[in-house]
Amino acid sequence: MLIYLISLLILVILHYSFRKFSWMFLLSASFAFYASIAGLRLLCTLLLLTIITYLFALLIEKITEEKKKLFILSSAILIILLPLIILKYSYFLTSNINLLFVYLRFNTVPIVTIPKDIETIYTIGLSFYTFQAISYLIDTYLEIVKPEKHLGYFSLYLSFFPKILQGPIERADLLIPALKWTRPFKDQTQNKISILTLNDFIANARIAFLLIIWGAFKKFVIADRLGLFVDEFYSNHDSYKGIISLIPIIFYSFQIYCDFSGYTDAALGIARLFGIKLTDNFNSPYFATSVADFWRRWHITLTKWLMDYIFRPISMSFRKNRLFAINFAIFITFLVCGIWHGPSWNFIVWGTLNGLYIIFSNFSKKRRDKLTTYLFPNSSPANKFVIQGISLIFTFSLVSVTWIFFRSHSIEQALKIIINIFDQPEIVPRLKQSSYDFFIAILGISSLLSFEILKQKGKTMELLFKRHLIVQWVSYSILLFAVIFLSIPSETKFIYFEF
Amino acid sequence: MSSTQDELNKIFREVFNDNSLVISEEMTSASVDGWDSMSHVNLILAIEDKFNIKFSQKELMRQRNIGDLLMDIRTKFNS
Repeated sequence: MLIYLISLLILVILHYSFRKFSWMFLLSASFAFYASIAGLRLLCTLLLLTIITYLFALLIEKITEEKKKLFILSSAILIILLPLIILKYSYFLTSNINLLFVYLRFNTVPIVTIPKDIETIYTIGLSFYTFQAISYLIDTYLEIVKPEKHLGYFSLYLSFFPKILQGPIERADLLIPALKWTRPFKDQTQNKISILTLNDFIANARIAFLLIIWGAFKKFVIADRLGLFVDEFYSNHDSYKGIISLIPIIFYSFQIYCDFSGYTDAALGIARLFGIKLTDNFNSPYFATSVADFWRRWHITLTKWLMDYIFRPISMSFRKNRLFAINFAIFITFLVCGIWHGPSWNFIVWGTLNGLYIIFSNFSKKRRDKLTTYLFPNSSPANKFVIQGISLIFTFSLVSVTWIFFRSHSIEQALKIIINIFDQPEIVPRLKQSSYDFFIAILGISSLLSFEILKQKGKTMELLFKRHLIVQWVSYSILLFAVIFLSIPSETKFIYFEF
Repeated sequence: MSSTQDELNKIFREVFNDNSLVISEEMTSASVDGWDSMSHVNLILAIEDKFNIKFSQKELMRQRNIGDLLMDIRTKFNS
């Protein structure tokens, strides 16, 4: 950990001292960081993918014939997907094909055998930069972006270290210019640049600092504490019956959010240290009032990717049959979303379930609207508030059910857990954690929700910077002390590192 | 406002059920209430129907704001 912090500090100094060469420092650091976490095999995959994408984009730009262009694009996407399919999905695919063949009694001997150890290959970051490379190629084909000629900046776009492991999945038309902005402007005097840079740096560093501590608070104080309850529950789910099961189930909804968004906040903060503003992946997702609304607020860069490159082409191809077009496109989009998360039936069910919720919501909209008008005839502010509250709780419950499939080891386990909620035991089981753990967990969730309510009212972090310095430092200190003293003293990894 | 933009504005008001909606070239789905990926299908169908045109798949994938929509509609009229 310390070595990463020292390296980060040196990198910030180098970045601002030799801005012309900054891309070299950032790129070397990104490769070194990725190799240290993911190993040399994945670093080579990244390098290979970078060169292939870079060359294909230049080729797509050069070709004028539309059909040929589309053929090259499709071939490029297939080639880019190969490492992901081989390293992440081949074991799952072949074992399921073999199972199907055995079931159909075609053959009792496996058709294809993939070494078992490929199942356990660590593919950290691969899904994220593969999707980024695909978006770059499609955007080049659509002429939304001009292919980047500078291989260094292009590589940095794919591998920029704050976002390589867990995203955000950035678009080239936004990130490449931001990375290039770090070059000195030729038409300004050296003096002017340094003054601007210093001010920019201080403003960015303050936001970065707060984002990093807030991210650490979400991960180490909230998510890891909730993890104590969740891990125990999913290892011994049979001993939890009745309403008590709802506690760890609800806790997991918050754990996964704090884990993923905590990492994203820290990633955004670290990028800010270099003057780069990455896309925020979350907008208070548990304040969503429908499942579709949840997906506009949860993992925003992935949703946008899926909507632009999966949902849109499918829905537009079948648009003459509007109802079919929309619902079929939703189904496929969420199926891809599930598959993207990993080679497991649990993720496929999780993704599909989310899609089915939205499809059901589309079909039932008129009836639901009628029921709402019947129950709440006038649209007074009080009624609106109640309707919103009910929708929010209902959406949260639906989403929490999908998380059971996401967290369980198998579909049977997920179904058992759901059935067990409705089972009334003679002796109500007790939670195995201490009341102190429960208190910290509730305190963590409450502080998260309070912060999100302020954020929804437009009171962002920048407002804190307008307060007196003492107020600012007291706030920083409270957060920092909480991170130091309320963290779980164990080495835990981030949930989304798996994807 | 050009006549094409006027016409498009009318379609936007009908599709999104908002009589006070005034569109501009820079506006994206984020700036119009109710304009999401699903209602976008309704919008495209209404535009194609009213202007009697058909967008290509590439045009549909490329359109990111109202300016893009207007440009594609005008190109079809000029060609």
